[in-house]
Formats: sequence, C-alpha cells, structure tokens
Amino acid sequence: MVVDSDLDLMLRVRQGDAGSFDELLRRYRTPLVKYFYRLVHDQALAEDLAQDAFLRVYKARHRYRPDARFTTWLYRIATNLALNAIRDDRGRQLRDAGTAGDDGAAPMDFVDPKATVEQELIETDRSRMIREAIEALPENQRAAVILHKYQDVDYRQIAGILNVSESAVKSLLFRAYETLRTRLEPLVREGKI
Amino acid sequence: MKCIEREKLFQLVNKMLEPHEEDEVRTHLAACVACARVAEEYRRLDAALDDWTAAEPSPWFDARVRARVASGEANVPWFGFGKVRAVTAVVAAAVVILAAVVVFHHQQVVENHHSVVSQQQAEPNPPIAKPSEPTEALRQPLPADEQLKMDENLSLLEDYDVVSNFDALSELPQAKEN
Repeated sequence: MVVDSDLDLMLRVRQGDAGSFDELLRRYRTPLVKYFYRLVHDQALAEDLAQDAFLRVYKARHRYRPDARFTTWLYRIATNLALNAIRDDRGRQLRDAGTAGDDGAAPMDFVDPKATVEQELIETDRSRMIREAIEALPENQRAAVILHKYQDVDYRQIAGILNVSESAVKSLLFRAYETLRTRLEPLVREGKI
Repeated sequence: MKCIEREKLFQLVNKMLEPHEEDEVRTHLAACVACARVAEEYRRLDAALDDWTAAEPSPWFDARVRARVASGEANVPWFGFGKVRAVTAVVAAAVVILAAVVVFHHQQVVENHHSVVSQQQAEPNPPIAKPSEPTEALRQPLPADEQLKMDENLSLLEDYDVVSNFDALSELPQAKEN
C-alpha cells in the first residue's frame, strides 16, 4: 500500500480534498498537541492552539508552496502561535479568569476534566523537574530543545522553523543543554532521573 | 593530550557531526577519560529528558477542528481575528445605542405621564365617575346605620391589607355564616 506523502496530501487539500486534510489531522494531531503542551504546559490551551494551527493550515492552503517540507511549515505556524500565546500570557489569563476567554466562551467548553486529572497523574517529580528546567530556558532555546528532543525534528528543519541558520540552531541547542545539564546535575549524576 | 571542546562532544552525542569529524572525536574519546565522562553526561541528560511525558489529545479533538473548519472560520482571511473583533465591536456599539434609545424613550414616557398627572391635579373639578363604578361607590357618603357599623369595625378597617383586598371583605359575611 502506497502511503501518500505530506506534500501530496497538502496539494490535494489545496484543491479542496477534505479527506486529505483529515489524513494530515490524523498524522499530526498528537505530535502537535504534545508540542504545544510542552511549550505552554496547559492541556486545554495546548488543544486550543493545536486547533488554531490546523485552522491556519487550512486557511492558508492556497498559499502553500511545495518547496518547503510540510512539517517545517506546520511547526513554524505552531511555534509562532505558541510563542505569541506565551508572550501574551494567554494561558495565565485563562486560568486566572477561570470563567471566560476574550471571545466570551467559557474555558470549560474545551477543558477535558479527565485529561486534567491525567495530566496531574503523569507529572511525577522527575517530570516536573525537567519541565521546570526547560520552561526556564529562553523561548528560542526552549522551542529548539522540544523540537529536537521530543518532536524528532532534525536541526536543519529547526533552522527553517525558527528562521535561523543551522549553525545558530546547533549553538542554541548546545547552550540549552549546558544549562539543563547544570540545572539537572543531581539527577544526571544518578544516571537515571 | 588536549581535551576536545564540549560543544563537539555534545554534537557527537546528538549526531550533528559530519562523518569525518565524528571519527576524530571517537578516536579521542577512546584515549581521554575526561572527555568520555563529559560525553556520558550528555547521554545521561538526553536519557533523563525522556521522562517528561505529555498528555494525548482529547478524543473529540478532530471533531472540533472539523467543526471549526465547517463553521466557516477557515474562510476568514489571515487577518480574520481582527475582523471578528471589529464585528464584535460594531455589534456591541449597536447594543449600547439601542439601550440608550430605549432608556431615553422610557424617560419620555415617564415625563409625559407626570405632566398628565399634574394637569389632572391642577383641574378644580375632575370629571365624576359613574355611580355604578365600584371605586365611585366608595366615595359616596354612607348611610347613618352603615357608618355606625363601620365605626364598630374601625380597628379591622384600619388594617390596610384588609381594606385594600375587596375579596376578603366580601368573604367576611360568609365566614360569619360558617
């Protein structure tokens, strides 16, 4: 069975094929929600941003050019959304308000209580320490580490996503890992956190 | 023997080196304990980072995306969010104007009502209602025997609630019969 490439699917989406959009959704919903979750650490906000990212892909389908890899394009959209959300402190506003977003919709509309409980359960002490160490990194380093380590995106693509050179990505990653090595030193020394 | 810079060791662990560079570094690591230890730290750090897990998307994630696409949100141009806000602002302004008009109209009605009442009060002889009207009957002087009964029940009639409730008054004789 021949598996369609992301590029083929996106070109068909551009021609109005809803099934191809569904296939892209199926392929990238989990990586994208996890990417947003690691950047904003809020499950409801992560899902909201991932929906926004897919919507933007759909809206911009006519402008998609096949000269760039689909994942580079997708993660660039996602990274811009996430960094804007972090800068706007949107997550904190939603949590602090606890009632409604700026569009009047109650956050409970999209909060999955089960997911929130799950989120609490999966965050062990080790997990929390890693999260806090990565959250403390500067934005670009944080995005680079998450893309490299958790999204399995190679540094050439990361350069395209963050709009920097490949050598800048290598440098970003090295500085980030040096910081993490220091912050997580007691855990790294144990061999296994 | 001179140690290799840490960045090269990091790049080795993260597979960022060209093949010829990688061979060089590996050869060095075989002979340098200090550099081998640093490289091992990077490997441990990389392994440790695996423990940061993230939740899966909710089961209805796809349905929500499809619903948003189908609702026409996707047809909103790139600057759509600003446009939506502008429409919201126009609607809000319309609601405020409408509310102001309603309040102004209400005030006009109240003022008209007050002027009519004051005109009626200024008139020396207001038109007399027909005697058949119940309110007008109350204004007529009572016969002497009725006045006496009323004086006897004065304490009862002083109760405003009872006086204002004509049904209760009409039931009084029935209650006495029962």
